[in-house]
Amino acid sequence: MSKNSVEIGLTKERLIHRGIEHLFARTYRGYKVDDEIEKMRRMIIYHPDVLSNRYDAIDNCDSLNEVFSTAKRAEIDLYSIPFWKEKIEGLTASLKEDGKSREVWYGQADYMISAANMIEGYDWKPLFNAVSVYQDSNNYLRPSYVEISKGFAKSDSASLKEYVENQIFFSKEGKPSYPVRGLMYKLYVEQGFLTKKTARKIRSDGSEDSSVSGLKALVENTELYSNSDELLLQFTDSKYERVIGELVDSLPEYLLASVMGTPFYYAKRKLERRLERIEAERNQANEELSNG
Amino acid sequence: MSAVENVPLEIVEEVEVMSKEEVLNFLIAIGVNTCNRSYDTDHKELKSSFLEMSLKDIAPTWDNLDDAVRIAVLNAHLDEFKAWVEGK
Repeated sequence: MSKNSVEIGLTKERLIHRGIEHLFARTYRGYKVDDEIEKMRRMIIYHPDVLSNRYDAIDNCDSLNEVFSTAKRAEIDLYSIPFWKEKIEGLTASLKEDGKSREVWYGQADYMISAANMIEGYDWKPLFNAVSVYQDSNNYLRPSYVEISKGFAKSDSASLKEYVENQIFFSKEGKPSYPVRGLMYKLYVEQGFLTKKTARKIRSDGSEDSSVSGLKALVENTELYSNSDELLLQFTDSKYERVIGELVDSLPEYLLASVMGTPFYYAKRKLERRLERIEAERNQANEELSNG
Repeated sequence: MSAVENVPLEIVEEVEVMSKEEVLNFLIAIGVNTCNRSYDTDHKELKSSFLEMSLKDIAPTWDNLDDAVRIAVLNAHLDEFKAWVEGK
């Protein structure tokens, strides 16, 4: 090979490298990825042999976030592609490194959560415990923490139950912040663990948001509980208007009497409207029956 | 890198098929496009190296080059371009 062709080869290689960097450069929130760029991203993700000697061009948080978000948009199962499978396993192994959990909690390494999500049977508990350190005292619920908590609940529901009961319901020390409690109530209820006693605990939470979150989860998952009526009734003496409002919307008709004595103005108006609706539907049904 | 050149790469959902060479040429083109807008000395040098390549080497990237880079290519190869226009 002549010197000139070596130089040309080097120039091309450097430009390819720069092209890859640009292709997977961070997309700022609210901006749409150019169609041509999106198409090429998908092409390269599907056929990563282009990357095999040039992986360093995307080996950073921003670019890897773009790789995983593009794969998600295009519904590409990265884990089924051997090149990415190896990378995903390497990325999740690096989650155990010091300092990584803070980065993940901050949302700077969402690709790591996406990577862990792709591994069946991934053990979320260590990561959950690590990010809880940062989240528990924080009143802003980070999306990364929500994702990790969901993974934890799905993969190890027994540990989640233990965590919620020991750290929240029956905690003798400080409890986590109210958005964390709200999320934990939701996950706990969705797993079918709610009892009459823990329903009372959720009803008595010091935060209206947390209490509503637990109740909403129950309303959406009544099929998990054979005693759902009894559980719903634990909330009827709540001190929070939004809780009573939620009950007015979701209680079956035969249980509505349990919230009729509510002192809350808006909840009362809501209840009146619901009863009027029920009445109107009944009248309409009767009319249809009598008309034939 | 694949041992076999010109392996057809297929995009799912779309009928379009691109060879590996086409993908690499696309990457070269967007690489030089971004260098054209950069003030970084390395990037300027990289763009110059690209412009010094023969038109035969540049041609496969032409469709994806920005207009400003195309003009720079024409300026860098003005003599060849004039000769071609004049049919010499």
